[in-house]
This record gives sequence, structure tokens and C-alpha cells, in this order.
Amino acid sequence: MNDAKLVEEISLDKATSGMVLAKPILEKSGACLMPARAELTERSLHALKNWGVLRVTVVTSTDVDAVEPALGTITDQHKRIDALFRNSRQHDANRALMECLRRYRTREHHDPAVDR
Amino acid sequence: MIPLSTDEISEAVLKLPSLPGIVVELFRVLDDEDVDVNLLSQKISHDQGLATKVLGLANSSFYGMQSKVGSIAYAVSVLGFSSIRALVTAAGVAQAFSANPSSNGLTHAQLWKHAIATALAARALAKSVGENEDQAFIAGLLHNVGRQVLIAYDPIRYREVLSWSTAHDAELSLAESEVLGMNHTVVGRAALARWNFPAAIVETLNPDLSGTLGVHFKAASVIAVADAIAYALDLDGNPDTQVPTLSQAQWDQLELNDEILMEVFSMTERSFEDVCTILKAA
Repeated sequence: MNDAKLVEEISLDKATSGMVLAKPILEKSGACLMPARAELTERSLHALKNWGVLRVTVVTSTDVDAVEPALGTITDQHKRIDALFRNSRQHDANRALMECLRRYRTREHHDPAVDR
Repeated sequence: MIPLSTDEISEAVLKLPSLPGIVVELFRVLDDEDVDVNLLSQKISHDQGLATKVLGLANSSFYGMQSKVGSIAYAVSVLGFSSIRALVTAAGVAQAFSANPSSNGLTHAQLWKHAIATALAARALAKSVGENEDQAFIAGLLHNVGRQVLIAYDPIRYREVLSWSTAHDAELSLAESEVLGMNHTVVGRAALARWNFPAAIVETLNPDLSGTLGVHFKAASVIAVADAIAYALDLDGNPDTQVPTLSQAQWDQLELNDEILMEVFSMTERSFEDVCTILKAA
């Protein structure tokens, strides 16, 4: 869904303050260090470097409205999860997987950035 | 319904592209303790297309290595021979199918993307539940190889499977059973046997042998759950994708919790694009 012209993955040393994250930065455990849409600052760049983050995906288009659909809103993602599980959610195992995925997507969006 | 005959399955399997020689050789030495790793590394290096893919994977987010892996010999020394064998197999299978001119372009990419997502999820799951990661990766990559064989063999007939699946909003496996009278795993098993895949992998993908008492039951559960996770993460680029029904017994056996699952989601998403690019599934 991501349009290559709107977002780009770059190495952390090329990232500068003011850039906006197109994808959340996740720890190995899946924990969210910074959510999508967070703006990078000198302090957060420094913190990311200390965490050993090597690459970040940032918004490269200046037209933020054009980027919005590529990022997808949390409501869109939840709707998509409903669609993906449309025929299997009545089974316990599938429902457990679906609910965990929902928490995972919510966390990507709503976890507070560690450094703000 | 026009069921697929046994003869047709044999014919489809005979038409399979052949795997690079080195992949076949690696299967042969699977259980050989005195295997000459240096010699095999040299042979891998000689197949340039294959070596490029293996080094690409070794240097990608798939392993997250800090230092650059410049040669197969070095890759073997840092990642271990078992990992390299899995990468060579993956690269070999990708190469064999990319050379297959008759595959249906549209669904071919979606199938490969799903196969790669399943392989990545299987590897991450295996790590968490104490199963062999390399075998899980390969089994995940090949779990729907029968589907690729069916499409390559008779793309027009397979289109009927797709139409039935769309019309009934049903999983492909069900549509295959309805239209072809069998599901892709039967053909997949025949294909892997023809390619001389090790029994451990063939049986993981064999629902008849991997029943609750089978030795490969847990490995088979890893693949089944990885398959569902791959669909749930929505990575194949197919708008009509749906998550297949999981067997409760297989799900329960892995004793997964939020922490494990989220790590599997995250690891799968993190290296997906890289691995697709390297194996040319994008």
C-alpha cells in the first residue's frame, strides 16, 4: 500500500530533525519505540542512535495529505483486520490471533514516543 | 467439476523446473557428519545467481548482521552451515520458479509473497517454540508449492478455481477441492518428492502423517499457524485475502502468548520487503 514516492527507508545518519516517520520504530520484542507520524527531533535522533536503530522510514513528500492514505489510519487497519478474519473469527484460535493482531496494530499507533 | 487425474498430477510434476544441482547435493549430505563444508561453499560460490541471493539474504534485515558478509565461506562461518543450506534452498527454489515461463503472472507474485511471509513467520515461531528454525523457514516457503505447480500446469483451469473462490468467498484450498477434486498439498507432496526434499520437510507438509501422534506434529503446527499469520499480516498484496481457519489442537500445542506473537509479527514485517526483493518476488 505504501507508495515508494511518498515514503522512503533511509539510514539513521541521513535522518534529520523535522522529518516525519512513515512507519513506527519497533524494538526487537515488537514494542514500539516511536509511532508512525512522530516528528524526529535532535533528541529523539540521539536516542534512536543509542538504541541501535540503523534505518528509519520517513515521509519524503511535502504534501502530508497525499501521504495520509499510504500510512493508513488505525480505523482502516481495524476494518481490514475484520475483513481478513471475515470467515474465521467464530473459531477460538482465529479469534485469539485476531485480537492479538488488533492489540499489535493499536500499539504501533498509540504507544507514546519514548522521547518527547 | 473437472477433477484432476493421477496421470495429470504426474505430468504436472514432471514438468517441474529442476533445482540447481548444488541444492540437490545439499539435500544428499543432510545427514552426513563428515560433509566437506569448504568444498560445498566453493560450489555454492560458483553458481553466481545463487550466491548473490544467499549473500543478499545474509546481509539483509533477515539476519540483522552488523558487519558485511562478503563471501559464502564467511557466511558459513558466521551463520552456520545449516542456515546457509536453508538460504541456498530458498534461493534455488526461487530461481527455478522464476525461470518457469508458464506461471500465471498475476497470482504468481501474490503466491510468492505469501510463501515468503509464511517462511519468515515460521522461522520466528520456530525460534520461540524450540523447533528447527531453518527447516521451518524452508517448509514455510514451500507449503504452497503445489499451488504453483497447479497454476503452471494448467493456468486456464486454475482460473476456474480462482473464480469459484471469489464467487463463494472461500479459501483457495476449498475451491481447489471443489473444482479439481483435490487440494494443492497432494501435488506439493509429489513435487517435493520429485525434488528429493528431505523427509523431515515433506512430512511437515503432509497432513496425513502429521496427525497428533506424528513426530512432525509440532513442526506442522508451526507451519499452519505461520500460514494464518502471513495472511493476517496482509502481506501478499491480494485485496481478497482471508485468514484460513486454524485447527484448535495445532494452535494450543504451540502455547503462544501476546509477547511471542507480537515478536513474530514484528520480525516477519521487518524483513519481508528485503527478502522479497532479494528473492525477486516483489
